Amino acid sequence: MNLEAVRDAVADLVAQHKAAFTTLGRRETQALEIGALVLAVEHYRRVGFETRAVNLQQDAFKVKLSAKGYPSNFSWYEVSRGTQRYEIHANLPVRGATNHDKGVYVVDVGVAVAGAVPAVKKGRVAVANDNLVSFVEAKKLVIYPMLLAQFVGIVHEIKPKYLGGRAAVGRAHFYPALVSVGYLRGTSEDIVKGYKRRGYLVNVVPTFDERVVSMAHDPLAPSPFRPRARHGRPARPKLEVVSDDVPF
Amino acid sequence: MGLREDFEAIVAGIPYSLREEVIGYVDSVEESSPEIFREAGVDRSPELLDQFLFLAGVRRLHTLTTSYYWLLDRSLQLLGSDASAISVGRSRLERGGGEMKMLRDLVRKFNEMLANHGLSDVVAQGSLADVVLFLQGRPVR
Repeated sequence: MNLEAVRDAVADLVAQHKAAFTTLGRRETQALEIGALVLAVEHYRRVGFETRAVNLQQDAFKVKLSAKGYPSNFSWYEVSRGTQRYEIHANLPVRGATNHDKGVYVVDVGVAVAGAVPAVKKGRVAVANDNLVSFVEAKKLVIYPMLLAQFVGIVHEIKPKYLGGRAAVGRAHFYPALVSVGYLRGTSEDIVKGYKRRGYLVNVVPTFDERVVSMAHDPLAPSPFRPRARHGRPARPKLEVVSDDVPF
Repeated sequence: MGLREDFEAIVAGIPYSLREEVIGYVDSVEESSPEIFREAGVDRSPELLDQFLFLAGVRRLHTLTTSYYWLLDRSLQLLGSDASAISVGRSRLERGGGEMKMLRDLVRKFNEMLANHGLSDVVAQGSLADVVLFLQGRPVR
């Protein structure tokens, strides 16, 4: 193995594609924001749901980037299988699980029962807690113990049933997920292993971009989210060959 | 200069956020290298560690490039025939647009380069322990 030749080839690649790397750097944040949404949609697609983009605007899918704004002003995905229908929204406001307060939390990606996201554009809009199925939090951070504690705190406030060892919904859905481009640091790996022993039904996906590459290689590979659904087939595998000829 | 330092000099030419992710990753792999070498059943030497960290960096750069491209491309594909763009804030990403073509070309060239050097499997899909075995000329598990 001539690694000096590989080094020179990498140097040439970086020099020749500087503009592409600049574009990648500029689009990185968007790729992460869209990435969590795409992962959630792909999860459902790969267990046999049909997927559809909804509320498109000017021929475009308008991504909700922050907690601000009414959900109905942005686009979302609808996933359906038989009589089951759900909506997947970015930055979705949702009521907390407790009746002791009227707290509203905004999850990075929320899966809700179809039709449950209020279409109104007035006042504080939020999905009723019972209508939230699951959610994803996405971070561009190394996964350190306090980040895990923060995530478990979010699950506790929004979907505490998942910390009680029983899923709140059917098997096609995924447990609340923390995805990050960062890796597990310090004692994080041990903490995550402990979640299983404690009956926490959550997903912690470090370096999720590596999992994305696996999915890119195999159109039928499951999403990185548990539980792994064993039923259904991808509804639209033809999507895999639509756009280009990049040999992943 | 070792290969790892050479690599850091090379990635000095890419945007800061990407560079920090790649270099931070290599640093973390170095921290974990005793375990990784133990898993591979290979003794660590300074030269082998340098080669290993270089390939870990190449692998991370490839993963970032490929995954970000795939996520952007996939988000456009999932729109089906109903729309052809993603609107994120003030910017718009078009299916078949110049940016996507540029990124697609980068991914293609990166994959070709890895294939030309016989690195496709170990860099694109292998574990870090596999990278160590590969450098030793031993069969990758």
